[in-house]
Amino acid sequence: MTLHDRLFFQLIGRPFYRRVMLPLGFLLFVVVLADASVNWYALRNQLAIWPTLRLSALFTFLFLFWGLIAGKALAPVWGQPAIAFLVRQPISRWRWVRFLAPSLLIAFLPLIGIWWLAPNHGNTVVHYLGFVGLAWPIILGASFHGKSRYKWLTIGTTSFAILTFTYTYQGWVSLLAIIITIAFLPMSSSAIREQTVSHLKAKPGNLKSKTPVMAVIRRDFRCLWCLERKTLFVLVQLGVVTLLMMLAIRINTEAGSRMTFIVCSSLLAFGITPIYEILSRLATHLGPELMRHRWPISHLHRGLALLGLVFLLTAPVFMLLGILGSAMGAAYLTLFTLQILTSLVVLCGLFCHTLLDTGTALGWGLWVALINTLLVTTLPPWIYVTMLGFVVPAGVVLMVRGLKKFTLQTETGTHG
Amino acid sequence: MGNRLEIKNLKVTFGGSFSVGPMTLSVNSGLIYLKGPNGGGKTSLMRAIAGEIQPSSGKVSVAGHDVYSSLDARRQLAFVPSAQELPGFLTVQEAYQFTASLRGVPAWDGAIYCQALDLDLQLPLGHASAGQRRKAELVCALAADPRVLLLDETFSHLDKHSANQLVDWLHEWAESRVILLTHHGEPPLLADQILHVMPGQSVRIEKSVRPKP
Repeated sequence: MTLHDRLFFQLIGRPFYRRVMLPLGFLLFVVVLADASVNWYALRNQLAIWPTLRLSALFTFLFLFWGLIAGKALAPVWGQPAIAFLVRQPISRWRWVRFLAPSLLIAFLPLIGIWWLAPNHGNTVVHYLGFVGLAWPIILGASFHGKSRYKWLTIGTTSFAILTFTYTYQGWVSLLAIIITIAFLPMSSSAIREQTVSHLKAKPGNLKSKTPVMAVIRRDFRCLWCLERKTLFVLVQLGVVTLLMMLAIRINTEAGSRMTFIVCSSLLAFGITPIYEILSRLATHLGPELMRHRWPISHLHRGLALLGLVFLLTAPVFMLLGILGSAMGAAYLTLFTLQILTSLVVLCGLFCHTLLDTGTALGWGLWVALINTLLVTTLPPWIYVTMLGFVVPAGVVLMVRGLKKFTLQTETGTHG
Repeated sequence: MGNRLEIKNLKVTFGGSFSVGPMTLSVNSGLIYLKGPNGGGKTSLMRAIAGEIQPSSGKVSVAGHDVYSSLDARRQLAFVPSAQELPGFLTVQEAYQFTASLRGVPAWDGAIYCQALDLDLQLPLGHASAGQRRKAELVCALAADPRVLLLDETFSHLDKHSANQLVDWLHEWAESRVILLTHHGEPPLLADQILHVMPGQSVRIEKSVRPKP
């Protein structure tokens, strides 16, 4: 193994293998489950008598489906700064293919299995090499962004569909598939160099805001929208699941007001968990721009903006949760609202307090939510409300002190 | 009291090993040039004057308000850092809208400055060149027309046209605002005062060279 091979495998192969293991494991699990009830040889024979068009469509779909999954696992690899370094080196397109091949090999294993089901009309080696090799531009295309993505997905899928269709009639088409694969390998691989340029996903917006706090909230949200859309999507997914669980409980049980409140409180803990992670990612992207001391806003304002942001992110789910859990009654609904407020303030406070602590556990979000849920569901309401009189101001103080510490630490670094 | 920038015995120290100052200055308007070797402490002084770092001793105030503790003072003061600081996910327009909103003047429009500097409003800063980023930082600093403008190496990376434009603006603004400027090599324009910044030494005022109109 040469130094180049090792370098490419370290930078591309290892992160890709880590990401593709989960879908591959899931696929293997499905195959093992199906193995008990499916006779693969009989299925293969049955497919051999399918109409050509249907057969071609089926295999095109299966190749595209796996190609998209593998491409999704590969996409983050191109974003690494080290890839930009590789792209700058005088490496020919064919050498790129050679160095990439060991890294991408694992993605072709399921395709060999899928293609085993296809009727063989020629030489076995050529049968596999030609058609499985055609998945190369599909997998790479699925990992790209921008025009290259659509270009290589279209080229790969269309050529695969046409060749599988004609292969049924003419066995020599598998040789043509090999030639086309050989042509596509370097062409699609050379598009990797276009992937190292960052592409901003959002259209330009408007950050004019009446108050400084609102301006910061909008700027922070824009940061998340541009750079962390997938994480926001996880929050939405979790919110939907939370609401569906509440809906199921509302439909299927006759819970009283106390029980409805306990369920809502517990679901709140579940839905609030990703907030700490989202704030951590925001801080990573913004760096010292999270808060600068020279800005004409106070640390309290900055803290309130952070609180406003998490409130905006979570409010739709919690409002719907409150509506679905309306059977809890006005008193418990007030307690539930206070629980939301406390959770968000304490979470923001802890986040700001641990801003400079690189080893912070991501479990903070869950701990805050769970402990708060435990307290609100076990303590008598008057004790809980009295406690909030101390906890909420403490959260705000923690937030302001954390931000002050942050600006002091991040802005004393340079002199020149 | 006006726009007066008052700097009294300003001294910045880092970890006991590096210090610059003390520096004393009191001006209503004009162009002040900070000169000194690399690592001499020009940027540190600029950051302390901008209210970004707490001075180890002394005080900076704008119109009587302490810069480090007063929001009013920081609203009237803008700093163009030598490092690129604006986040890449914003466009030029969003960046100055954000800065103007922070200063409480959301309606401020920087389009005229962008046009003069040949800067695309919709350019994402993540895709901008070093010169374009520098222009964007400058337009952001101009948001809400600050009375004190601190320009740290702002001329570096600027093309000739933009540099000439900035020189014209600085001549005009120096009549009514306080402008502190650092630049490597010969200053691109005549200053009212030249301050010599050396590490571990007090800041020395050399001479006044810019003729008053």
